[in-house]
Amino acid sequence: MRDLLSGNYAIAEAVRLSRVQLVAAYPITPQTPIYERISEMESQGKLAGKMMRMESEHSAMGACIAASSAGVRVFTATSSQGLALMHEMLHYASGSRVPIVMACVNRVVAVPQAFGSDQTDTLSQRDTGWMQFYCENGQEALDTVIQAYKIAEKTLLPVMIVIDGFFTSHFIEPLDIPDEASVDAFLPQGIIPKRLDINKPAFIGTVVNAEHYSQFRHRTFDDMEKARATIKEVNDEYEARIGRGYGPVEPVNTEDAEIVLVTSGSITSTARVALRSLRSKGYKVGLLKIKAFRPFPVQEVQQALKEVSKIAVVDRNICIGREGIFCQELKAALYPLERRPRVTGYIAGLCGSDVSPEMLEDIVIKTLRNDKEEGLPIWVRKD
Amino acid sequence: MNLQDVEPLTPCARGTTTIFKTGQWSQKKPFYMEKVSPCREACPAGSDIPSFLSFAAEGDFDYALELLLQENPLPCVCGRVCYHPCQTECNRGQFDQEVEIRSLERAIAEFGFAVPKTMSAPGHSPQSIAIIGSGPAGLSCAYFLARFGHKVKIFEKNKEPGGVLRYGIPDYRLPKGVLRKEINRILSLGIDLESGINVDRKMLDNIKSRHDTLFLSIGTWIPRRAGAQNENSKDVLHGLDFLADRNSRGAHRDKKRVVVIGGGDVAVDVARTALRVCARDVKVTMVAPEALDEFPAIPESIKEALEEGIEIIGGYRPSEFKGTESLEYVRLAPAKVDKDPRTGMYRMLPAKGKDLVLDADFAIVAIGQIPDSELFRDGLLDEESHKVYVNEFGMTTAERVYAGGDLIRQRPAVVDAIASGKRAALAIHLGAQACDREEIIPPLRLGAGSSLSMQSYIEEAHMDLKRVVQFSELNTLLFRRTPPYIEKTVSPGARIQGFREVRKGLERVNAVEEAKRCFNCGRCIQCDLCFLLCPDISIIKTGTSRYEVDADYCKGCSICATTCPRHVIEMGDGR
Repeated sequence: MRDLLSGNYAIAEAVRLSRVQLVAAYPITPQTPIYERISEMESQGKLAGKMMRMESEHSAMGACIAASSAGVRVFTATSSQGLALMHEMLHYASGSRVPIVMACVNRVVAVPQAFGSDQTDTLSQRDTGWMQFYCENGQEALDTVIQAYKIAEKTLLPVMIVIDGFFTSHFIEPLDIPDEASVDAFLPQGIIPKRLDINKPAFIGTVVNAEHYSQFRHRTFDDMEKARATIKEVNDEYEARIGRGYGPVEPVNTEDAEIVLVTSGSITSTARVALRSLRSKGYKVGLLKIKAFRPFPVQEVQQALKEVSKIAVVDRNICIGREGIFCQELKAALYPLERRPRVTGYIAGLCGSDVSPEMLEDIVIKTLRNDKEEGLPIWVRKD
Repeated sequence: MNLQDVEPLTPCARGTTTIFKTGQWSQKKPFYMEKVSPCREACPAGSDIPSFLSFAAEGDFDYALELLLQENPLPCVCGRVCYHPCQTECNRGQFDQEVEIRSLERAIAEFGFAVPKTMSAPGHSPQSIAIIGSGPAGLSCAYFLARFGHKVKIFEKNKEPGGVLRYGIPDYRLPKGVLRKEINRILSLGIDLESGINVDRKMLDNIKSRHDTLFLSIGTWIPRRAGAQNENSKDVLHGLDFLADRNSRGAHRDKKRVVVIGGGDVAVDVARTALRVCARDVKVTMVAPEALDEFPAIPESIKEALEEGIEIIGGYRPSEFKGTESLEYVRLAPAKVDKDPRTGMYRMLPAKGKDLVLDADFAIVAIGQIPDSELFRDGLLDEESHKVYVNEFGMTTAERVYAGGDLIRQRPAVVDAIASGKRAALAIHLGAQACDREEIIPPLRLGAGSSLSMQSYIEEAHMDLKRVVQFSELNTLLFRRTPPYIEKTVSPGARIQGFREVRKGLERVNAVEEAKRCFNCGRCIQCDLCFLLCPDISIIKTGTSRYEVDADYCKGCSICATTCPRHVIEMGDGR
């Protein structure tokens, strides 16, 4: 079925199709329409489960951890300060090995106070042990939420689905909505282990000694590494059943490229337009979309970029004291290559300011002409 | 994924986690220590109010009375006539309204049954003690000494025991039957009573030679005189004489205008008695030098007197009782009362203003009494105050002679008399055991006051007798504001017809409900709040009544101490 949906509503639709049994959330712009839409679904009897309207994001995550421990499929969504407030419970969730799926709609983190998109909120949660998938548009978000449940439940690791605030969350586009039967066949119910048993009480998350601590950490690390294969398998199965799939990265015209533009999130769609324009002008330019941030697709990135001499990374985020966060990650991933490409980082589109195709073309051309190694990121502003 | 595959992924205990002694990281631990309530500190008798009310609140009046009798031999009396300093200090007064402690004391004494416990201390050597006077001080001293196993004999000049309780306080406040029952409970401890014997100086020497110790509690029966002209007129009587002499009451039946001089409890009783025995349409006026709101009598008594139609005038003293054949009027001069900075005693001074003249055919002066000094050898009595000098243990300057009640310098009230008898009894007992009073008695004193706990002498106190719980230290979140249950009274019109008791006492159900209003400040009533709210399950119930802190797991969060409604739990250093 095709329908016109915003990115937020697409996520809500995926939650419905995934037959989520518990939604525990707290509203915050620009995520609130997800919350509202699911609430509406519940009141109309369209939601398979229940919605808990929590007093904070911290509590929302607490409820999700408890319910998931009891074997319940759960969902929550948040943005910005809400995600920051949730921070300690994010560690708690991954340490508890609960398959929670959460939608995060990027928004700047105060101060300064603002509402536009900025990936720093989710990227700040890099080390909490969650998978992070940055989606380009509503369709991808919808498909990825459904996939995420399967990935999370197979690996017992929590997953964040990330979209750009307002660009993706509020833009309405025609989307393909899979039918319920296909989703049910793809995503069976009742496979989350029920760790809470009233007849066999347990204390989950006990105090451990140093040796045990290290063992648990190591085990979680290994399972995240193994998740790379699971992510692929699940995507392949989804593609076979539903007809759409997405890799952890998506290379476009990288085979013969002298320069590759690296993007994530909604800027990728703009970059596709810029790419066509540049190609028509004769530039040998390619595009690499990074979807999976955790686990970071090191091999896929190396594969796509090992022959390229110049790379321009566009970051809608900034790590104060270093550079754009995707740029850092990319550089680290490329470091083992024998012939390392020259990587230039650009900071663009902070707080949801527009990144136009012309700006991206300009970035590519400037990078091509620049033979200097740029130590610091280049801040791109509208003229 | 199966459960057994999941369990190794995350730390999970299905058995026990007690191996991790998480409390070892904490520097703070809660401590249970019961403390003194302000009501108890204020009670001269040292009654353990929060404890006995906790049992009354459960309907266990028998045990409540048993606890009451540990500290006070006269609960039926105090439950009726006490000026209840306990209620003035009640912490609940800062929350809504004070607990009706006096009414509850009466209810417990009426509904409960208990036999006073006898106590035998190790190394006990019984003494024989003679007590002169069977008022509240003498009865109290006899009661505690008899419970310690000493041989006690009371000498009473009147036919019946009770002193001022019997011959001073009228029936409408303290019925004779109630008093008799209460005195019998005391005498049943094996106390000898010889009544109708007027002990003179010679006989006192004789008694002293035949006993180890003397306790003087003869009270004060010589009226203090107003110093007005014509005070000896036949129509002018003096307070206790009027109250005690019930046989000649018929003689006052035609008196229509009565002036009572004095503002204390005796004066109020005189006025109210006059209202009952004089002419049907009598007008009774009370006059005292104090300002109206500073009359020393119990405020409730004054309120009841006003209800009964008695007129009260403050700021005057009598200067002349005038009349030819019989009394015609009383001349009043403006006066005021203040405290002598040198002696600390109240004194009356003239004030500015015009004289007042009141028509009167009968006047009664009730401005206090002094003891019969004939009985005392030189040096025993302080000439200025007319009181027998005693030290902090009730000992007079004479060897083997103790004193208490109105004879000594203290508030002339029933409960203070009881306290003085109790104090002397303990001192006499400790003396008999050759124990160091200086060492034993001061720790038994409650809070900063002088009242002491006999219970804590008998059994080692598991409480801090010096710490008084303040209202600000309570957690009142769980208490609801509820008005007190007030005793019903007979209507003024009905009660002035005779001497039936004015206050009807609380009904049993209401007494239970009123007892529940007590915060039990400083007293653990096993409410279990600490046990239920401890997030680390580190409060352990031990046996029947107490809690213990499991220091291995207590993290010192202080939730128990913060939530304890009664301030029994406090945080302290260490394990």
